[in-house]
Amino acid sequence: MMPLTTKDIIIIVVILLVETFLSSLASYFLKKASPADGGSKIKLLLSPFFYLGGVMYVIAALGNIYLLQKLPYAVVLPLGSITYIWTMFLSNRLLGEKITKRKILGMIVIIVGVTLVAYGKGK
Amino acid sequence: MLESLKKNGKGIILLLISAFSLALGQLLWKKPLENVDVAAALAQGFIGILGVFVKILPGFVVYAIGAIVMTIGLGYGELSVLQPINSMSYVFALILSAIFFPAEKISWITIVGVFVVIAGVIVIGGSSKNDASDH
Repeated sequence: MMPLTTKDIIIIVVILLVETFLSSLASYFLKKASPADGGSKIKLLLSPFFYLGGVMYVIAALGNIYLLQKLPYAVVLPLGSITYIWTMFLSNRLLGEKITKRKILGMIVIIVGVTLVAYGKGK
Repeated sequence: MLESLKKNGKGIILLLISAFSLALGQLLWKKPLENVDVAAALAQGFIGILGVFVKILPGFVVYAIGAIVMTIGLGYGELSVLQPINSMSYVFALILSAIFFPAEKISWITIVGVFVVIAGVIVIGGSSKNDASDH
């Protein structure tokens, strides 16, 4: 891997923020596509939200592949957890879900866990 | 906690299945591409793209099934509770790689990390207080 210039770092940070935001927004659209209680499951495949969410996931995945070319796996994997922070924010703004201390604690514990998983794999 | 499991339970189970599909899908599309220069193959044009596509097809199908299961699951509970369960895919990925590639060494730090992720998912999974039936 090449040493990073300031420009590289700015690009990496922007892609990281956009990629994690997109994958969080994608899950919001998938939730909108969900037929849930008693609804016909086939309906899901007809929902434009399903495909919108899917396309966003693919774009996010491409961003992730780019990051993996610039940074080690052990760094990219935990940074992907920023997605959960976005999700907590988006689900609060768009769905009115409460941000509780317990959710924040769980999220921090998950991020610590993912960091350990990645660190162990990077060795 | 039990209350949350009642409200989000179906969603939690479906998200766990989808996290497993993501891990399996990743295994199925990463391994065939290990010794392939993807950029060079794609630059070859149609035949190259087709070649890559055929290689990743099984993984892609498993991924797509996982996405459908996840979409159904997200309807049963809070997004902020259910979406972080995706992180269990790291746990499943590790279990799968231990099964299919027993020669690969797994560091104890990774194993500790796996249990920490599971703990975090349990904390979040049991955290819903408000009504989860809205969607």
